[in-house]
Amino acid sequence: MIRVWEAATGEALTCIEPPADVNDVALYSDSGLLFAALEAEKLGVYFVPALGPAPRWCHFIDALSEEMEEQATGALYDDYKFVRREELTALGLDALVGTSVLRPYMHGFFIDARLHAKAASLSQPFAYEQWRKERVAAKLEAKSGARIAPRARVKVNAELASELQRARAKATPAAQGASAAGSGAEGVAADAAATGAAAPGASLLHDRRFASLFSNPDFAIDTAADEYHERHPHGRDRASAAARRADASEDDDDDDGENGGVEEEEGEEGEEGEEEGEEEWAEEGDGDGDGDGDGDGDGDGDGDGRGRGATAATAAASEPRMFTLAQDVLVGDGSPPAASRVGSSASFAERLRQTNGGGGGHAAADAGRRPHGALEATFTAGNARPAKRREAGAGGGRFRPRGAAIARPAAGRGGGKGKGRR
Amino acid sequence: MQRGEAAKVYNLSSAGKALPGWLSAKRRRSLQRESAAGRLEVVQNLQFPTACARVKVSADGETLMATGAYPPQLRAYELRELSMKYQYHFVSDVVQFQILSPDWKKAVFLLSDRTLQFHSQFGKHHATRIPHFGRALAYQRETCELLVGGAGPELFRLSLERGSHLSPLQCGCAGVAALGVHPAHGMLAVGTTDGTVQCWDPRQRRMLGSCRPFDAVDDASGAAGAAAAAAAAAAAAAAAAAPALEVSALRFDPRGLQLAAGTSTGQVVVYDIRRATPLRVKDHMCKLRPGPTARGSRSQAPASPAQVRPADRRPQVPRRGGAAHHLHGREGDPGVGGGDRGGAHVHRAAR
Repeated sequence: MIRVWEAATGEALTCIEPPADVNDVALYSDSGLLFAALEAEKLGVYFVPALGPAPRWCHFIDALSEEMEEQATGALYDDYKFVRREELTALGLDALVGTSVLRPYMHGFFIDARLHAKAASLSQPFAYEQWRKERVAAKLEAKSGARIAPRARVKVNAELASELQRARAKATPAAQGASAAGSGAEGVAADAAATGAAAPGASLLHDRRFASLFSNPDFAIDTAADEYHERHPHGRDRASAAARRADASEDDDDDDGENGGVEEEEGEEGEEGEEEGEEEWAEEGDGDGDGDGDGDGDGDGDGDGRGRGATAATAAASEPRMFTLAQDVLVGDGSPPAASRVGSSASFAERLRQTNGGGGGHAAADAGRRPHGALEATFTAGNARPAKRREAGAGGGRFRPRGAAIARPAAGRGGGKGKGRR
Repeated sequence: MQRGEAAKVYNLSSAGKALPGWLSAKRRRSLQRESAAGRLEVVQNLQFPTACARVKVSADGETLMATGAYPPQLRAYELRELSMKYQYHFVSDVVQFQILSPDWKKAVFLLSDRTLQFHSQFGKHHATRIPHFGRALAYQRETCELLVGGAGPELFRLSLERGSHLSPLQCGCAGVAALGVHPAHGMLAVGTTDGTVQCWDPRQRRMLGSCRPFDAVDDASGAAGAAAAAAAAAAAAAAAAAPALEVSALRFDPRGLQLAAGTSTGQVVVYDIRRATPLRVKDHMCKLRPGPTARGSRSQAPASPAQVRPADRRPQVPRRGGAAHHLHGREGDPGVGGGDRGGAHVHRAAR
């Protein structure tokens, strides 16, 4: 479509509709001839007598145009607006139907744009203001959107809050997984959250009952506490990942040589990936897996998993809690990627020695020796003295393996998991 | 001529399908004879194998030069003879070209592989390359500089007198889509892909001022009050659909007092260069594309004298970022043309 307007008045002079899209237009100066580069094989050549005479080199088209007079074009509408009948009703211009002001076309009418503008502005007198406001609002929003969004301030346990929010943002199954993680991560609200709605992150954040968790400093999670580390071996694990890796490679060099080292590293990486994938297990499973591995791998680390369990149990003296003794027996039973175990166990051992002098070493060894399908055990804290648990680990009657009543089957881990409950 | 009546337009090319090339000469002749009336050709063989991209007339009015595909080629027509003078094939598409001399003898071609080819009578004279993909060409006679803009903030300058690159102008924009040179004093207008028009002084190489035609377009639609909210929504939708709001065509009027800017959304904004606010905003109504039903009903309708032509007939993807490609001036009038892919504007002289 090539449109021609009067420069002085802005009125439409004519429009040319070539059979194909227009790429370029060239006017032949001082004449009414114009060439159009079309998206077609042939170029368009148009002669508009109203623009000027024919050029000298093709004077014959003046005569030719006289012959072609009959094919001349008709009326031209510029600045007309198409309105449907409903729009016409909305504008209150129904009465004009049938008059020359409206020209029926397709499923509506053509109306002079100025008349339409007038009618529209009369029918909605505040439209312009509204439009202005909207535009200003949009601009402001665009401006503020460029800034870094301010976050809702959570004074206490901000990390947990952000974690919960992140978990909520994930898809529903992922959110459920995160809920388990969250419940494990956080002591007081854990059980309530686990038994709560499908998105416990949200419930935890917005539930009035847990409001003080994010406001009262008394409920602040002490990340330096040993109990916290019991539950979150991750934090320290990841922090010392590089160190562990270095340890592991050294150990492997000692044992197997270069190739062994490489393999172990790969194994460790795989393990870590697995942990990432299954968040619900990661919280509980990681430390215990380490414990198992130690049980098989080397005597020094044997005490760790056990000892950690013991500290947790003793610390939470008043409340019943759940945690696992043996997370995955497959790992413990088969040849574990010992590289990570050694490193992590070393750090745990240190920690353990600080706390209770490695008292639970034997128990952990027992746990490591437990057969497939062994227990996740639930203790009441009062019973969970290290000595007693040693009996339990040895297959004493206090713990009933309940492989059938598995609440959360270890899909990814492969090892059967029982949950002993008292 | 009364208002509302379109000026007559005569189609001199029977534009559209050419006779297929595989026809035998005999059949072709018979076909041509059959439909002689429908196959009027003012210039013989004014066609390309597939499509034509750019067309220009030399300043002396003797030669018509057009580039097209495929293969990428230039065809020059000697208008006095009403036939083709020569053709030249390129290795890649011609993005834009500029005739440097009054006649056809010197021209420069901006190719899609970033090459600038300088041609003389015998053919290729020299070729050089520019760092960015070029899009717009302009030649400043006053300084004898060739200006090339494209996908980048720099506007590259080539001194054709010294035969060397000069330091580029830093426009501070995402890209240059159009260039215009003032016919009297050589002021340079740069249409950017950011949707602004910048005016540069070629002597001091500094920006004199800039304006944003899209503001004018918005204001025009807002001030009209015609379902303002709906218009804003439509504008927002258009903005969302078309990511780039760019000034895709620029042209000074031959007297140099007016500057017309064509936008990628199909508007033409005419400025007086002494005023910040536009003189006139014309809309191509590119948004008014008839849907399939509308087209069907139109094709069924008898040929009515009334021609209502919402912009473009084909539903199409906007191409190469720019819709309004070209603005065209004519000696003696404030010529303006805003070409859409399927559209061009011509402003006619006030008589």
